[in-house]
Amino acid sequence: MNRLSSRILVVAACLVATCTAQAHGIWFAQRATQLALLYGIGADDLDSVKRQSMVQSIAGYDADWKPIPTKLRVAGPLLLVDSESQPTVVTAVLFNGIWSKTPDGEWIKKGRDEVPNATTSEKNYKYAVRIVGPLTSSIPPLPQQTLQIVPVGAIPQLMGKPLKLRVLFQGKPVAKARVMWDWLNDPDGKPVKTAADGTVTIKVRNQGLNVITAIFDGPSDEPTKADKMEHLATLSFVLPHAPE
Amino acid sequence: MKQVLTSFVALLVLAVGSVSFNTAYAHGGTQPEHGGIVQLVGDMSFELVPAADHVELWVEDDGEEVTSADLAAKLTIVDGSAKSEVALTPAGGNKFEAKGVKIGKGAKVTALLTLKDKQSKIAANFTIK
Repeated sequence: MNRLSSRILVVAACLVATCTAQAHGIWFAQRATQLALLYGIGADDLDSVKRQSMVQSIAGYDADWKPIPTKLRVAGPLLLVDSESQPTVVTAVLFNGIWSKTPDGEWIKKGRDEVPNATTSEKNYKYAVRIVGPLTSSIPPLPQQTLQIVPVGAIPQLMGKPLKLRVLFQGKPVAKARVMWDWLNDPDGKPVKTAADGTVTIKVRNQGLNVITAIFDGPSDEPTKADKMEHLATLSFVLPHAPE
Repeated sequence: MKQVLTSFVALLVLAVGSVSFNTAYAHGGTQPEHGGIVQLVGDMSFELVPAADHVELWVEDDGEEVTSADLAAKLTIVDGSAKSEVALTPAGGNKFEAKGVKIGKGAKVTALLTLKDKQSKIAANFTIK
């Protein structure tokens, strides 16, 4: 019985690991003083350049939420953000295609129409918002950010302090979105679900780069190919370190 | 006695570690050299000098002066509801300048520096007091 329980646990753990590995995200982080768009999960900062064609939008906004001309440029293995002026917020959207999970647990990049025995098929969108700052007003629902994490009130300047967030789906607060406080350093952490008003309160994890994630499954717009659409959004910001 | 000694060594290691950590932070000067306002952004030090009839920007990289002629710089000035952009001109050494510009108290200024590769950019934010 003990052996059976152990096997069940191992299988369950593998399933969880497989699901987690599938859920990659995009976020912004500084690389050699420049802002880069990254793709991956945890410490896996994967090849974003080869995914550039999947980036559907990149945008920058000033403190009054007016667009600033912004594009991505390839610099070696990185996709760097290139704005004409310093943006207050930068956003991106990446369409990660349709993926199906076979009965033996493999994820393949095909729809249900091509994998009829799939246990699940999903269409994957990744969103990213980076607060470059300083903010002078609340972040509104931003164009093309179908799923978006918005701070409620000011972001505390010290790690460990509570941070209230609201998750928006199609511009409106959404319940039961799964929020994770640190996509880079705690990617297997237990998500916290948003309340009916879309809010959730977490602690600020890092005195440095913070990448908060929200995941929400929405209805499929191509039911023959995908059972659902998985939306994965990140909100990234930096808390300053102590004066030198 | 052995326990006390172990604790002492542990404290010493922690103390040395803290000093090393703080030392590793230091990149450049934070004190103004031209009467302006200094902002450190990573390795880069920006000193903005808002004068009565012009504005200056002095830049250093990791404590070393960088030649302004190799770089490009501009200011975005938000003063109340008014927003303007000012191109800065290299003015010798590590200095940029724009004449005929007056920045009022309370204005928020972003200095955007384009580096020698003509692509990489670094920005610093100031509030004029």
